[in-house]
Amino acid sequence: MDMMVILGIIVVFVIYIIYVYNQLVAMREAVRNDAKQIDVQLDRRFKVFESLISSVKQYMDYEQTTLKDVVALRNQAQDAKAKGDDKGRIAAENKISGIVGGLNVVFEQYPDLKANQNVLQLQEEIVNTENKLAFAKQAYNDGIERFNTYRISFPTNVVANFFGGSFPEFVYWQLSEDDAKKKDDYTVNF
Amino acid sequence: MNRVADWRFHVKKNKRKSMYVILSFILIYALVGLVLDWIYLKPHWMSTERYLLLVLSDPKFSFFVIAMMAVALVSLLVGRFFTRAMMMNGLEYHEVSAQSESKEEIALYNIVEEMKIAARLRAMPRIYIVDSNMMNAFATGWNDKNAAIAITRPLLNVLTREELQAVIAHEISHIRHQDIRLISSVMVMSSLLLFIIDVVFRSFIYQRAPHYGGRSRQNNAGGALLILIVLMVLRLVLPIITMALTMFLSRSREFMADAGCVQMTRQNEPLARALIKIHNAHVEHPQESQDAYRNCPNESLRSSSYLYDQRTAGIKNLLNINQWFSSHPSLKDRLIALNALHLLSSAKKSV
Repeated sequence: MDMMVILGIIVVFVIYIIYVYNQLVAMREAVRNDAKQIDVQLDRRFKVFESLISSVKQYMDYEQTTLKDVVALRNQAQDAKAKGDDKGRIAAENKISGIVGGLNVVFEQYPDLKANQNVLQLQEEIVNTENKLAFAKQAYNDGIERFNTYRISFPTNVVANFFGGSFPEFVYWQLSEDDAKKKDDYTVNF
Repeated sequence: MNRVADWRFHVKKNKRKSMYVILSFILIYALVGLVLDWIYLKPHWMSTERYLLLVLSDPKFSFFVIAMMAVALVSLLVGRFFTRAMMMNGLEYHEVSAQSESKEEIALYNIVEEMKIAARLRAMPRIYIVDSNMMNAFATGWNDKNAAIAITRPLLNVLTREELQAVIAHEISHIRHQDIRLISSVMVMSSLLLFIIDVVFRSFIYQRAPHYGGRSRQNNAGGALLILIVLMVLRLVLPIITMALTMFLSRSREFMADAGCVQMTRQNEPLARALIKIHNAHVEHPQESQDAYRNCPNESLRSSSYLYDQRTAGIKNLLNINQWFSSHPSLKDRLIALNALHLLSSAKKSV
């Protein structure tokens, strides 16, 4: 009789561990999938950028430096990705986002540009790409929140720690502290 | 965890509700089948009590029960593959793709794609622009792989990109929460059932029904009257049951989709502004709006799927039983839930 009770408890315990393990795997894979989605959008953004810069070339020489900046940052991000340095990569990609904001301001100063159909279309492309990127990051961060919360909560953390290396906590996609400070302090000067 | 804000919990609940709805409809189908059996298959010398016992044991007497249950299952398959076509039936519309020519259509496609990413849907829904005089939008389909979002041209024309994004996010939420499947199953099963009852009712009135069991109805005027009454009651009661079911299902659906929109776009005001724009258009042009809804065939199929319920603006057709109750919360309640009540002052009073 006592044996049966102990056996029952062990069975329940094992089922619980299997359940938690499978939940953790499902959430982890969802986060990884979201990370892939961010990659897709980053690649897309780079392509949109290239075509944009080539079509505005005739209107301004601004693009020479911009193009160099974007390409340099992109290479920096790719290097960081290859090394597995998530923070460096996020910082580089975020800087490209900063340039995109500047571009829209520049458009306003060139009436020729605003009348150019090609550029108008690319402007929608930029908004679209930046939005997609933002929503992909948002989905990624939400997924991480779900995973990390589950991963750290008691008693699931005991199970997660038991499997240790399989379930590392993920790094949120966020602005670096310097960047956040800069944006916080930013004021518009007319 | 806060259950109200957790859409995964809502999806589970919706799946369970869909199951209940489907089961209760199968039961109603079986009951109607039983009535048909009683009308056509019961030998006139047999008492009803004895017959009811026989139905359960002998397939010879329960042909219609079995047939109706088979029809119920088939109608589910129809729903699985054809709801989108049924919902769009009677509307003038065209599909929008990434290769569209016009700027607005490309922007619309892009916005849907953005929201699809935010909602983590696996497949891109189809997008339809409906050429109609009303301002509204709805989502339909069976699952996220064959879902569609429809938006009318006038609505598309008045919304800013931000507001359009909010409206699309609301519709994408309906897809993500699997509301569309719930509505589809109610829609298909209830409309087919009404159709069957209509057919039986008419064939009975005109005496064209086949005679089973060698029973002569002319000899039994009292029985015929009773059957007629049963059919008429069914004809009256079933739409009410369907409506009650829809109400039961839609109580929190719109709030959840509004919440889903805020969760995806991280903004509450664009949706509030879009709702107010739609509301004002309905209030300012009640006649045009009513005509636009009235001129669309199969309007009753769509009425509970709309983003905005025309009844909120006081546009009602009291002759239509489906319109007695509103399936949507009031504009004020929605604004309160969106924490945007301060915008209510810009909404026109409904008549």
